[in-house]
Amino acid sequence: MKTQSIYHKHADDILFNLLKNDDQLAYTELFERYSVILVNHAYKMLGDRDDANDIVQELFLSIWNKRRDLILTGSLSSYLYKATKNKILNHIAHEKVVARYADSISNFIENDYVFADSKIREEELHAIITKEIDLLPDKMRQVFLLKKVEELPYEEIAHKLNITDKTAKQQVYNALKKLRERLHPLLSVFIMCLFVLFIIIS
Amino acid sequence: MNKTEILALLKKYQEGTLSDVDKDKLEAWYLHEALKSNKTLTEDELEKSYQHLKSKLPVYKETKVVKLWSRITVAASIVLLLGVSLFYMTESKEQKIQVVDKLDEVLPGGKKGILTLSNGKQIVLTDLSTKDTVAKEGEREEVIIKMNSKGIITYKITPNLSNIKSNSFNTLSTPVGGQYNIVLSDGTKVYLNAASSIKYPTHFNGKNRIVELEGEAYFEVVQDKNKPFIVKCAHQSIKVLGTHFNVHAYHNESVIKTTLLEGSVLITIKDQKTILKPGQQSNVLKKEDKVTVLEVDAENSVAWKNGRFKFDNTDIKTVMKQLERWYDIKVEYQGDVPNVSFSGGTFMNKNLSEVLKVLELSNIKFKREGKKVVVYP
Repeated sequence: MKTQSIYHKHADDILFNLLKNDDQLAYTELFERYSVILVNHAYKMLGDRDDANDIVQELFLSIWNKRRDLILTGSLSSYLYKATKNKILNHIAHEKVVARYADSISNFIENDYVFADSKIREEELHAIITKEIDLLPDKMRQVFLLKKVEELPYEEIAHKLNITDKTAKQQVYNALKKLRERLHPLLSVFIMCLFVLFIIIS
Repeated sequence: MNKTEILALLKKYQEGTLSDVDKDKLEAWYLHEALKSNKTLTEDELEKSYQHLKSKLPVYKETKVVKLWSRITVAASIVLLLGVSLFYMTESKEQKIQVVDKLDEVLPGGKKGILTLSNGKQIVLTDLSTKDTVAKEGEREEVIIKMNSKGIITYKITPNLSNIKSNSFNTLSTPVGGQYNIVLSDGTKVYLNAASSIKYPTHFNGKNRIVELEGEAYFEVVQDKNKPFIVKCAHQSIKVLGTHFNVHAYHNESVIKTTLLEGSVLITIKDQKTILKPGQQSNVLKKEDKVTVLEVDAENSVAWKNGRFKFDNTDIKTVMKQLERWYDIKVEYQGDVPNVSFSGGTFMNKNLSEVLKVLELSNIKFKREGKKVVVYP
């Protein structure tokens, strides 16, 4: 598993915002962080590696396809877990699959279930995420840097990474891409020169 | 609760119609199950999954370390940037590098056709760079086949030899993912859609102008009152004097559709005759040889010749058949795919994934594995 340049040090929410702006490296970094842990989670529920792979593949594919429309209400990790949960429940909701879970579900609902509000479920979910990260092999856990990354405020990361420099580069990249698409070729060459000069001066 | 009740519960959850209490029950069970399960994959298996997913997803595949620019290299980069950007800008659109989707992307079809001459010789029209005479036909080479500057194939008869009675047939066919245009010797324009073929005489010297079609074509027939133009396809024939119409007659579809834009056409199915007016479409059910006539937006039927997919309450299977023919893909259906109808359109020069994205807005999902597309609810 390789790490992807300085994206590795970005917090989830920063990556998520970059992703919304079509940043493929940010997407890649999120994939690096979460694919393995989500596969393992799906495997926990389904007990089949191919099914687990399919679920996570589907999830990441739809994240890329719908990147511009995605909206986060909580943390990215709980969004990913919830999306995986939906896909797993969808998978279970098939005639042939449901039989394996029917006893467990009805047993739980009839005997063990205690009503709780959504906040408590959220906490339970977090407990699961934490536990699952802890249970990962050492080497893989390091890839996520999850907790550390999530808890760092933006300014702190910006400071650590000298992010103004990085943001400038991102802007140049974005601007080039847009210019190439939209503007008259010669005009865009001219504007690009201005842009590069602007960076040197600043 | 029995199996059926649980299945019903899960279906309601999917639809979002489950009550809050039941939803909490199901989610609580899920969390409970996840917490108590001690199934886990080994490091090796996880690594394999990771590699597998990486190969299937649009992630960035090369590891390129972005180095910080020093002020000096910035100056040097100006020259490079200018060069590179000029290079990009002078490149044609098709060659633009698509960083994001270059991996595992299915490209749209294009202008591709194969011309089969009367002697059986086949000419791949796509490969031709000469824009002039393609071949000659007839006893005294009285028919000259040319390609004009737009790549359209035309048939020209040498005037003083136009009375020659002998005749020969040519066939123009398009592969999956190809369209091609042709002008017949009488000046009639034919636009041939993907996976189709049309057989025609190089020179119309009989009482009728007869062509045979398999697949889909749009005709702009030049008027000649003395020589009706007849399109024959399996199950029906269409007789016209001079009109614009579209024929959709693929052997792997159950309905033949003929749509009239201008003039009038006479459709014959066995002994039944039907006359269409502009804006009407005849649907012939092959199994029963039964005709129904509908009022339609005729422009939708010929959108393909203008490079567009246009759907007007079109069912999913018909839509996917079009995509199969244009992107050279195989479509499979998984589970209970709802009978969704699509209205709207998009452009045929888009990559497959972009078109699927448009369709996904209609409560249906696609999974793509190379050239296979799985449709599921």
